[in-house]
Amino acid sequence: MRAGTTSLAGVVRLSDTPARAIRIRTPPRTPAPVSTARSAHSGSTDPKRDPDMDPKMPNDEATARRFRDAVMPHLDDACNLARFLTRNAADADDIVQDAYLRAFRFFATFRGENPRAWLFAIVRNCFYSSLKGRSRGESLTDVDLDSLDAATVTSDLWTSESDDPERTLIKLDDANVVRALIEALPVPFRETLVLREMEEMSYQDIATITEVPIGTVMSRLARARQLFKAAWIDRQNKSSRNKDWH
Amino acid sequence: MTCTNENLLLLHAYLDGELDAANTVHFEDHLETCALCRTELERQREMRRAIRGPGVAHAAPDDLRRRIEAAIAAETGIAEPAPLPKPRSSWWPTAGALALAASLALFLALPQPGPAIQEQLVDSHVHSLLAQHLTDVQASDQHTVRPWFSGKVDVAPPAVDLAHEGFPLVGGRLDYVGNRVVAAMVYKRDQHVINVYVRPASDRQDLSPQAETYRGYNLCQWRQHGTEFWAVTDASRAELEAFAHAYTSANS
Repeated sequence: MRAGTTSLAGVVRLSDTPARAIRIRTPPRTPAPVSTARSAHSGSTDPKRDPDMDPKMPNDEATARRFRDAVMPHLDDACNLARFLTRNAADADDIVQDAYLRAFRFFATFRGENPRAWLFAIVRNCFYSSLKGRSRGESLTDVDLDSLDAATVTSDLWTSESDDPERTLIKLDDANVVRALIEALPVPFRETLVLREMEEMSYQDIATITEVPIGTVMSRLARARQLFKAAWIDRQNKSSRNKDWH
Repeated sequence: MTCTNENLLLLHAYLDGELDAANTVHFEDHLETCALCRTELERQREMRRAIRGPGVAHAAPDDLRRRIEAAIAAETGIAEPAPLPKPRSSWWPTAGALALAASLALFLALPQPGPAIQEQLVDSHVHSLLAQHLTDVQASDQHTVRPWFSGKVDVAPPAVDLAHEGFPLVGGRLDYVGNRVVAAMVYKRDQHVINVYVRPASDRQDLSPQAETYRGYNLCQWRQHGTEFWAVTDASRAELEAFAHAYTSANS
């Protein structure tokens, strides 16, 4: 499935279905300065685009209060996103702290209406920055997203020869299985799924946060759900087979 | 088995409430006639319930919330912004680095970088007041407190009785500072708590008490007999210095 392209009217044309366009409920695009998270993407005060820029701009008490009201309530959500991106509690904490400081320093210039989407974009950008110059961890380019199937995604999780068979998926409770299956997805699918299903972002917001067209959001979401579902069913089958053996 | 690719994408957009009115009607018509899509929609709703179920989403740890609050407070209303408190990775190594550091620490006395230890001490001090976890062992008698630590930490705090100087001992607790478990002795000055953290010194040279202020708390560091002491308090600096003087005199 290839990425679609977005026309200005919010009509998504899917490359493999040229005959018809799927029209989704995309709000008309407003000029950049007043649109939601878009405004954070233009101009020189974008913390996502200028990770090293450090404006020596003190925030006053009033700004700090507005920040606490508008951004602090989303700390759990930011941590959730970071945790699923990094798959590691310590790295997630670092990224969220970094993102919050960056967000605070740029908050005085934030004009959007959706601080939550703005915050997610910063968290995501901090995550990608942290990957650079790091040898271990996520590989973003050498995964062939089109040819992935559920068995590949979950093969590591299922290895019965692993050192600690207790930790295979069969032994985990449902919530931890869901976590493990989400974590097993390649990061473009994982972030799209988490932003949609857990953070309940709209397609438009996900497109803005992940910097891809809406058509790509849709195809990634469909793929992510398909892989997740296949792995889930796989797990149920293996669990019941496991029970038969013992 | 699924329906066409296009209908599958419509199905997801329908599930997400992203279809416009015309396409919603169109897709609901399709659902009437397509058992595959009905089954798939139900499956997808089941997946959604699993993902949104309890215990899946992660929440922010309390200490992260505190660190961020503190960093915002430190940056607020200051003409020259304080240096950006580094994310934890710079001074709180991740698991692999921690293991490496632990093995190196057998051979090396690793110097603590800049404000790191102060940050952790103040966090620990504030936490000890907030979390109703001031003491693990309550006693005004150092002969009760000191043996309690033996076997729990690698340096047992010295028995120092300062009640006559106006600093009664309240108790002791185990804490985690500078990537190790340390003993914390808890003294009081009127209504103020003075936490004294005790750990092996990386520098054998004795050091007379050095007071400083960090994030509005007063800290004082000194070294005696190969042991490093850090006192942290919200009492005044003069009171802290008096305490440190009394402590070092009694311990010499």
